[in-house]
Amino acid sequence: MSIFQILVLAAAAAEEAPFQADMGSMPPESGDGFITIFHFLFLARWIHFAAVFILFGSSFFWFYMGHERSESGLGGLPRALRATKILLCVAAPIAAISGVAWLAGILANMTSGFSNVVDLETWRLFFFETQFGPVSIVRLALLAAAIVVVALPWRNRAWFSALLHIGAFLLITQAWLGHAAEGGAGLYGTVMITAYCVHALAAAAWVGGLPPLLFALVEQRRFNPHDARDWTLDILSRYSLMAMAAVPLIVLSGIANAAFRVAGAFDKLFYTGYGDVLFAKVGVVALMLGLAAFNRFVAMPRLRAASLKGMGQINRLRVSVACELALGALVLAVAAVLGITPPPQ
Amino acid sequence: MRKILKILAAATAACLLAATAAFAHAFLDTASPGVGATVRGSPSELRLSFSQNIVAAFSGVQISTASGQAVSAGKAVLVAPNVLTVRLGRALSPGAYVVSWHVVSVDTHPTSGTYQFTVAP
Repeated sequence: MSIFQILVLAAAAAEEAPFQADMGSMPPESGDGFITIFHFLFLARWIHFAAVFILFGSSFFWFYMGHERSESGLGGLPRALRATKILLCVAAPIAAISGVAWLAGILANMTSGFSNVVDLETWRLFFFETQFGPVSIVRLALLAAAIVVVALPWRNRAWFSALLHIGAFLLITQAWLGHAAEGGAGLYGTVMITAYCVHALAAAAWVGGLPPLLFALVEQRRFNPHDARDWTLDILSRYSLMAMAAVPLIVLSGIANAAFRVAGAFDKLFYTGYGDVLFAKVGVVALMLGLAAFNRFVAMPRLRAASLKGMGQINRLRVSVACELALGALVLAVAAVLGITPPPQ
Repeated sequence: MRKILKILAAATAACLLAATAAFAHAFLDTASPGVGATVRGSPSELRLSFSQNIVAAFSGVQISTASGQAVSAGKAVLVAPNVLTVRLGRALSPGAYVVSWHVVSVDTHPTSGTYQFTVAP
């Protein structure tokens, strides 16, 4: 299913009047030119999710790879490290711009028009008179901090740690800007927010770790086949250890999130637009899991058994990791749609 | 690892059990005077209860006669996290009235709707 099909599906779902007319409906999509508020929100969210996944997952990568990987000595990956630094320096401003755009999109959606986005009084109400206002202020501060950090000249472990933490807090605070915030202040609401945070953090660790993993696999070309095989196996084992912890968390918290959205009645997913988008997401994640399982349980043992043909195996691994990353980006697109599709009631 | 998985599975099951209340976007749950209802004598206020908690700053209620003439009414006040009330400026003469509401839920999503009620002589 292409992104376009998902968008069409979601737009149809958003237009669908889910209940009797007098119980209320979503605002009609005002034709604000070519790009509607829905498309704007979708794009802002997608880009923001991707950038924050990189901030968190790509900096996290270097913490479970062991010290020697980030040094220039034996087993070090200086080029992959440098590529990750550049990626993080690009991701921070993109996260900031898309984060601001997301808030603007929310405001435009709430007031049904982009015209209110330039109204200061509306922003004052947004920041100080709503439940999500304080969270939005915290997120803006975090995004500003990310830009300051990437501008710093010392790119050491503390630098990675700072971006890792900023990324984590951005993922956590995201919970209050969407469906997970509807549970209120009690235990019920806390469990709902926790399920969302676990989902976002685990997914960011998995998908956000793929770009540096890919850089590391590319860097193996510099080494002789024997070293390349050993180091690749070590890198892959460390990555898969993280991924095998992350995947059960993603799946279980994902099921919990879906349960909250449909209030425990999973059958609603079969005849609502929300269900279509969710199944599209589950489908792409299943593909990713299939690919990840292939890499871990087929490609890795093959590489271990390979002798001098190791390089060929690493090349093939590179392609499948790249595919996994592309699917990861697609999942984020679907997630961006899912959060602005009304869940069934 | 197995133990952690068991704990996770138990937590997920607990979430499934807990997730029974209907949430998501805020839709009108009940209203007083009721949706489509006929009441005897003018109500002093409108009361709208929603399926989810809402943000007062971006929510509002307007009332007009069936012919579209606006009826003066106070600002919508949040009396409970999901309940808006509006004091009416004057007693309503017998006839049909249209209430239009627009709210933003605490998860940032806007919804709106209209309903009618009738004041019987």
